[in-house]
Amino acid sequence: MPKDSNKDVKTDELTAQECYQIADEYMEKLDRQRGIFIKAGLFVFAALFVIAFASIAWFVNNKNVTSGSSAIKSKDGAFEIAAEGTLADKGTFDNKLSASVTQGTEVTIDGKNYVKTDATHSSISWAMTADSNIGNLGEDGAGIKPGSTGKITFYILPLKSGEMHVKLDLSMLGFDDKNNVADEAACMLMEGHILLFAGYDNESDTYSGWISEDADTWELTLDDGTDAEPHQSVLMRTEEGNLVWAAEVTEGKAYPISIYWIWPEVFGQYLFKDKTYIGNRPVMFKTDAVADAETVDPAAMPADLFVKMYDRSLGNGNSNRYFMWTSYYNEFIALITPESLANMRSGSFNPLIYGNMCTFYNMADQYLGEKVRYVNIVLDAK
Amino acid sequence: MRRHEDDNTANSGSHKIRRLPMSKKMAALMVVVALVCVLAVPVTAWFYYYRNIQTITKINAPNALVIGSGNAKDITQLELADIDVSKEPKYKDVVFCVYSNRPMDYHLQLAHTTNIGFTYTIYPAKKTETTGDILITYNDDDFYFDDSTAISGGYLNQNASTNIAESTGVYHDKTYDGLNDTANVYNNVQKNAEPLYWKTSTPRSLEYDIETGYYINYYVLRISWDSSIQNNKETDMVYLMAEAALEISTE
Repeated sequence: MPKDSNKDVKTDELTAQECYQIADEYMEKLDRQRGIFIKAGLFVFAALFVIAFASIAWFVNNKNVTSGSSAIKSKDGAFEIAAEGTLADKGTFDNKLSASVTQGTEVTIDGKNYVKTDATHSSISWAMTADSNIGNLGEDGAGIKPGSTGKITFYILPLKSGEMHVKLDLSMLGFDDKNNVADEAACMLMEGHILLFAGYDNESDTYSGWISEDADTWELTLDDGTDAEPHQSVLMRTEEGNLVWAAEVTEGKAYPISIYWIWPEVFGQYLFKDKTYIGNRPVMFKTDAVADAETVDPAAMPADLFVKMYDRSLGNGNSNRYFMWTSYYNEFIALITPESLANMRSGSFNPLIYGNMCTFYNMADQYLGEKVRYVNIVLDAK
Repeated sequence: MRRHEDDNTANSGSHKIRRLPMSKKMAALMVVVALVCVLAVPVTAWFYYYRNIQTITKINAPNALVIGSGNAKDITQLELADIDVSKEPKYKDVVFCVYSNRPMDYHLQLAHTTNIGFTYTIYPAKKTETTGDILITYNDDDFYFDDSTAISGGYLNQNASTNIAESTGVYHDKTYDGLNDTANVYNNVQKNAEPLYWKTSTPRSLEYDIETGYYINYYVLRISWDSSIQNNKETDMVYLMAEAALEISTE
């Protein structure tokens, strides 16, 4: 029998009917309390919801608020990021960027002009110059196509001196003619056909430091080319697949990081180490990975890249990141195996087999070019 | 006495809370949870720093350069099999085309093995007749060409004395020779299986054709032979290729 503090009644003095009546009253009371709890809980959660989103919106100053925590920023941080140039140095297609992306703030450092982020401009458009663009320079940028190459550079501006680590996230998103996100297969092909590297050797026309889900770990030392100390930094791809920049920095300086982009014109640029095989076009992986090496060669082809090129589990069943086979699936799995790719790379060049391999790569290029009209390149720094 | 002190303790905060009705306990708990969450958001934000820079560019579709049979039809209609060399005339003509949906300059390339000893010649062709032109009807379409004006080009690897592929060079060694770098040594294949490669000397330009809607060039490939060639059931492989040569012409 439940105890009611207001009715200190001994149970043995009650009749059965009175007991039932007290029990019924108690049940009614519990029901009322449950109803009050539910109403109060709903109001509290609704208020919590509104307060949380208001807080997020206040911090990001962003009308397009999402529930993702990556949009939250704090008032005071360790760095800003910038691109060289002025507010006049816009990209050709910047009008297609999200409304939440604004132009940054102009600043001059050591006599050079930059456009940078700050507390009220946390997401900015990348200023494009003749030395740093991706086919979108000024008003007449024509975009990119197979065979296009170039670089885009950004700068880290430390707000305080000392040791600094910055986690970078470089991503691409494809859009079709109607400004909708392109289909999954095309976006996946974009990752495998428009490649980003952290290093480039002008003398040998080769790349290093591949930025991709299919890349191995690597570490590159970057030099800003000046004599001032400190002028070197390290960019690395970690075991977890993160891109991390580390340096001993000086407040008020600008530390450059260049991203070298390339849309390989022919499949041989992945495959061969000797550029004479591919009409003197740039080579992307000029060395082979050495198992159990003490240090990883940033220019080496990832050890399992050929396995990933053969992987048919990704994509829509007609393509993966590198090839499209559509109705020629049986021909694809017979021709482009990890063994055949490795043989071709190691020197057993067969022009007929190579030509057939290229067909699958070229079909993928064609599909990519038809389905994706614009590519949005985003660099997040945390 | 201890019991009386305990009773006094019992009358303090925790006992008061326990004496509250359940509805008020629940309401108080909800308010505390809400306050904790509200405080957690800005605190978390204060520790989490984020900056973003981005750009956008245009992707241009690669301009496919396609080889087809006459009138931009599928290349599988290019019929080359089973040539009877005992018949007259001592040549066989087939029509092919190179086309794209955009104006383009390109090189035409021909590769063939040398088992039979045919001679391959490529002539430019068109759909309209000029005086003196030869008519060829192919796949129910009429084409015209002048067999005295072949397109200019030459073999890249022909041995002048033997007329088969030159047996030297890095490609020969790696593909056909293998073990030795000695000239005229074929460790991997028979010598006539090494293809000859022919290429136009200057790029050719596609022309717009209203009928097909493509930018297109027509050609006649003449395979000819002399009396020394016999019907001995040999087989040759022939490859026709087109490679974009320059930047895309303005439309």
